Amino acid sequence: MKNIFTTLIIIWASISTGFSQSNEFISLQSMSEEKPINLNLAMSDPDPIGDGKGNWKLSLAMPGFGLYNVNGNKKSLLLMPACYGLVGVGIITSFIGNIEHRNYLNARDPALIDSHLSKSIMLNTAGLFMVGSGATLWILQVGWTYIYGSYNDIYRERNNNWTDKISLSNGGYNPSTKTFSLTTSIKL
Amino acid sequence: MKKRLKINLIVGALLIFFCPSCKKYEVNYYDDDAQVTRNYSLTFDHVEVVDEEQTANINGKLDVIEVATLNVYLKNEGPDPCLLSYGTWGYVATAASNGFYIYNQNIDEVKMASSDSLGYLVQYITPGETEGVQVKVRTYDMLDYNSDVQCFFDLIDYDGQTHHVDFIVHIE
Repeated sequence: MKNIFTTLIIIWASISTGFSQSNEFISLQSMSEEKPINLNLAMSDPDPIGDGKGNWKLSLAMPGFGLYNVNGNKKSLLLMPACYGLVGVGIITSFIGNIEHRNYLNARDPALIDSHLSKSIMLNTAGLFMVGSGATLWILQVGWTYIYGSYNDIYRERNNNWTDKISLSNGGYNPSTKTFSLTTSIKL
Repeated sequence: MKKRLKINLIVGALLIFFCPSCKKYEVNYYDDDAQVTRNYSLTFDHVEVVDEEQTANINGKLDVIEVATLNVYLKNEGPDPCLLSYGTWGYVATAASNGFYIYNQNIDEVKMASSDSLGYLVQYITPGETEGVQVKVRTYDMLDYNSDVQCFFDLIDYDGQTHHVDFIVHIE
């Protein structure tokens, strides 16, 4: 008895489905009911966000590490040997250049005067260039860490509020205009 | 805000880069290429005569009939070192100087007496010290014994200043 009842329901469902597929009006009428759909995009497409702007202090002490925390790029870690290296070698070079300059000041032999002076100029110029490059790189990566971290903070806050601020709803079919509408709302 | 921060960062970094290059380095006043004006005055100290036998006579007495090198010692009264480049020297023609002949009136390159001992060309006189400028002379028998020949230097230093120094060579 139960099997017979089930069979009858299946037959009726098949007939009604075939009928609805062949009758466009009835099919679209069923979609005209407005049922808002909430799409949680943040959950469906998670985007890892790095640390915030507070990492500028870490970047100041250890160049590149703060930047790595905010952007996740391992190449950022190369900034530490680059900054320390440029500044350190630059200071040593300038120190040797200053020794050469003292030798220049104490020299009386014209040949030695020329030799010490040219060495002093070359070493001091190289030292200044290295210290300047290292310091410039150091400062810029601190600033870049702060800016990148600031955006991370903004994006993190937006992500946290994503579902509350954005919704997508099905506007349904309007038979009079024969149009189908979807509505997106963003809460600012 | 962020854009302004970026600009400030770049400007600050560039300032740090270029500011050290504004550092002024002290100049060696013994450097003939140094762009400085040395302040000093020269005075005559004494004459040393080195004769043909390479015997030095620090009393500055020149024998008659002799080829000799004179080291005319000048004192730098300071306060800066002097750095002599070239110049001329001569003598006042009088009856007493008849028979006094100078080889190199034009001193193309000043060479101080200490050049040989130090092993390089010395053209400077340290403040408060004396240095001998080398010149060569020849004397003939027309010279009067026990006479003085009035000589002078016009020396030009590396700053372009001319220094006139009078001195006397005694003939014995």
